Amino acid sequence: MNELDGMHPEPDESIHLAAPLAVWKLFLLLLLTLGTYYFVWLYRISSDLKAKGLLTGDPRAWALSPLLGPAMALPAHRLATRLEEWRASESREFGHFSDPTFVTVLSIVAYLLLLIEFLANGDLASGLVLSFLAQTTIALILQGQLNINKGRSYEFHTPAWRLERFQLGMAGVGSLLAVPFYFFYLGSAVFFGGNSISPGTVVFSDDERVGIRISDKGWSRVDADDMQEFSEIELAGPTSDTWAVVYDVSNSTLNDTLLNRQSMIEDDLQSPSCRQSKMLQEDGWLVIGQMTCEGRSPFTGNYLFESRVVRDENAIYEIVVHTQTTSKDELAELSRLVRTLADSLEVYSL
Amino acid sequence: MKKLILPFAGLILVTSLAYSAESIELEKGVIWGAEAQQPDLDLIARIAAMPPPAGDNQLDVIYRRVDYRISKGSVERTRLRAFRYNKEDALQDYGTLNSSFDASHQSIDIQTALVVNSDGTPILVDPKTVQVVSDNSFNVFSDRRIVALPMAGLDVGSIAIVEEVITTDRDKSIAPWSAIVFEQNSIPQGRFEITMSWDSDDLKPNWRTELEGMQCEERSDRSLKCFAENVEPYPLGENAELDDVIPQFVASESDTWQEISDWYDTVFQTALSGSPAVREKARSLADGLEGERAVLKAVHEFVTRDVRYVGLEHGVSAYRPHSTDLTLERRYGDCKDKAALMIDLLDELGIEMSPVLVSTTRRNPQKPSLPSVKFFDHLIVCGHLSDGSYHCLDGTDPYSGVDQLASYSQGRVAMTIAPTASLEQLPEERFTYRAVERLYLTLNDEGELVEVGQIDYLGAYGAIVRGILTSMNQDERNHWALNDYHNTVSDQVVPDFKFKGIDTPNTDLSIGWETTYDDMANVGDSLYYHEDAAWLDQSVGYLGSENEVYDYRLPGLRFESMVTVSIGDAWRVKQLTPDIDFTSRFGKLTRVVRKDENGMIIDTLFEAPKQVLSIEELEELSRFLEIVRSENSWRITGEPIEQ
Repeated sequence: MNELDGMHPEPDESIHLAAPLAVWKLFLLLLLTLGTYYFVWLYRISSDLKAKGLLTGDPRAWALSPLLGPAMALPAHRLATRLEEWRASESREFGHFSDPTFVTVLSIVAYLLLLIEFLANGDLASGLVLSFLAQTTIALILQGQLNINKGRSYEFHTPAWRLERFQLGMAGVGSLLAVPFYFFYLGSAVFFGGNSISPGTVVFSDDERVGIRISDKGWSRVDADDMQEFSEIELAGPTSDTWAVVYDVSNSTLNDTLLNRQSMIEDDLQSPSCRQSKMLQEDGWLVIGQMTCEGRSPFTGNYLFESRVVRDENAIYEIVVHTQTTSKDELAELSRLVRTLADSLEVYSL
Repeated sequence: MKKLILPFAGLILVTSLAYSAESIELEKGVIWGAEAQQPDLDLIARIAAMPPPAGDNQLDVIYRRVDYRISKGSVERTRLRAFRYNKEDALQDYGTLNSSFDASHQSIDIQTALVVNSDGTPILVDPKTVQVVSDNSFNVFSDRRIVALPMAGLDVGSIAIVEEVITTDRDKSIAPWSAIVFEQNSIPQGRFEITMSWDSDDLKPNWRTELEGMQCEERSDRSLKCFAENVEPYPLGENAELDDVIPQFVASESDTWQEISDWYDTVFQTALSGSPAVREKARSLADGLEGERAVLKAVHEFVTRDVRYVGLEHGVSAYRPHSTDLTLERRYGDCKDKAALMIDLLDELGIEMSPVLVSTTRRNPQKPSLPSVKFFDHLIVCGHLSDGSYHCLDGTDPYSGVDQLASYSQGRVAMTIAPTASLEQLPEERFTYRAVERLYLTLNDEGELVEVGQIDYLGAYGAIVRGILTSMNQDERNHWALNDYHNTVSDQVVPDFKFKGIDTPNTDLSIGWETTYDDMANVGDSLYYHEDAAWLDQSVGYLGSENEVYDYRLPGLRFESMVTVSIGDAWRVKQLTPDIDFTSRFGKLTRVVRKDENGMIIDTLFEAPKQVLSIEELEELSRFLEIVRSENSWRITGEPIEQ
């Protein structure tokens, strides 16, 4: 019995609740399992609430509630409300962290982050990381409240103020960890995503008849045919929406290649503004066809396609470089990056 | 090497000629010498002993000797040539040997003309078979004669020997004496000799040799002896101005070009009659005209178009123009006659022009090593108008305007007959070929393509096309234009043609046409229409060279094209053809494409100015021209308009 708190009712022995889980342990579990423990935790908390008669439905279904997407805010709100009811039944005050509305808002924010990253920027991984951080906070808050409720029921002697402080502390630590974690994730995505290429390097096709001279940081090579079929070289750019592909189009003509590329873009995107031109390589005899298509889509923001079709006496190669971004500030730099790369195709088939 | 069997022990075969001991005059000035009537065994033996030039050639010159003997009243040129025939083709191509002379002041004496066949048997040329013919080309008549010697009994392994003496009577020749001998030949020479002798020191000519390896020695006995062995042939190649590249031996009694100029000035002035008829004609030509340029144009047009080209170049008329009075009356003349008439007419109208001697086969003013009138073969007039502008008029080109020097004179070596004379290069246009194309194409709502086109041929290009069309009647012109259209654009249609400016050299020459192509597009479907720039392709085809020996002189082409494509009746423009900017050191192709409410407007310009390119640069030029030809097509795409 807790001497400082002798007013709690006797525990109901017929109700089987899981042992309280220390908040810091939950934080570690979520971190180490890259957030997947969240599903297990949901199962546990919903099982506890069902055992207390505060929740109906199969806990396994509750565990899968994040898959509902933004609608998960409703189950989260419901869990928080039921915990609050539990707290109220124990006549205890637990501070503002237990406010169900706060949990609901946080849950919605988590999914908005996911949506923005995935739909607007096409970056599912970033969305998942941000969503994970937000949901971890939710889990920590709710677990703290659950632990206090259980403490009352099962004579756990952790005082409420201590739990609240612990919650605050863990949320602070989580936030501090989240920032470097997020940036570490972005960096590693580039690093592990496909061997970042040093500026000055020439990336060759397998037959070494065509290459790209890299002059900016942020490009990494991925296997040919990863993004597009029949490609010679593929590069991933510094953002997930920036990429470059080189094709051998020797069985076509320079004019038809430009025509077809523009037609494909016009078919796929709303009213792009396109222009084409042809020129001779400076101090050389390569013919270079150039096509630029740019525009704006309500879903993807600003986009830019740059195509260069290079013809020598024996072969024709095309490089297509693409980027898109919702940020106007970012657009200028990405456009420069894309044009520089498009202009760096080198043909060695003579 | 085949061994030559020499004719000893009475093995000489007698030809059908019964030998006589005296010379025979085949016709006036053509002597069949007594020496030619029996074989010179010593000469045959000497030539047979000479080593032939190296290489596997169908024909060799075993021995070539040119000897000048200069006396006060005459110059004797003795020329000996000994050829060896190594292959049958040589028998066909070189079996008749020629010698030429000017009957007005020269005579020729054939001293040796025989064949030593492969058996070693000498066979003399029968003088009855010798042909003496005039060297007249169309509308040019002179005293120049060709003595053609059909060499008898030739077979592979034969040696043919010809020796002739041409004697120039200096009293009958008005030109300062000079000689130009091309030291290299199109066939290799085993031994080549040039010798000269002069009777007195004041007759000693200036001389220069340009042949590498030629060894010359001037002796105290007033003689010069030069020789070279194993002289390579000059390389055969396209586009060469051979007179500018073949090494030449020149001998001349003139010391300076000024001497030549002064001499010709006196010759030329005798033709300027300034007669009443000439003065009256000048005034009538200028009647009602204002400004020097208009007068220049009227005189040029009269002389080029109303005075036809006929060259009566007998005797001194090889150099001296006929009196302008006579030329005006006859309404014909050669370049000298026309030049004199233009100068006389313009002088009467207050415009001073000078005669200019032109070498139409030479572009390099540095090449003629000594002053000689023999370098020149043409005469034009040049001068400044009072506004300072410089004009050259060629009276022999009826197809060019007054501002357009004939293409065969442009850039050639010339010398103005003036108090300070020197060799110079005549001005030349930046582009030999200049053309402007205007094309209006309409794809209508019946799927037809209506084409209205016009090409303006400018400058020398206009003169070339005008020269082709002038002598044709309307049907022949239509036929010519149709063939040209079918060969260049398409043979699916028969356009209606219109011609402008054929008879007016001072205006642009234009050929226009209209035609309709059926079923060129399916109305209601998406449109994809493309065309090659066919007329540009045709003109670019005039550039480039397969030459592998000599520098290539790119003639220069400027082709401007404005194509308007209308599809608005049935389609909405979707995609335009790309702009082009192909800039190279040889020239450029630029294209600017604009969208208009019915389609697009394509402005294309190709420019490759005149330039001299080395053999090494020709491959790159070919690449550039290939790029221009393969990338000049254009296209338009459209979406059907809902009806």
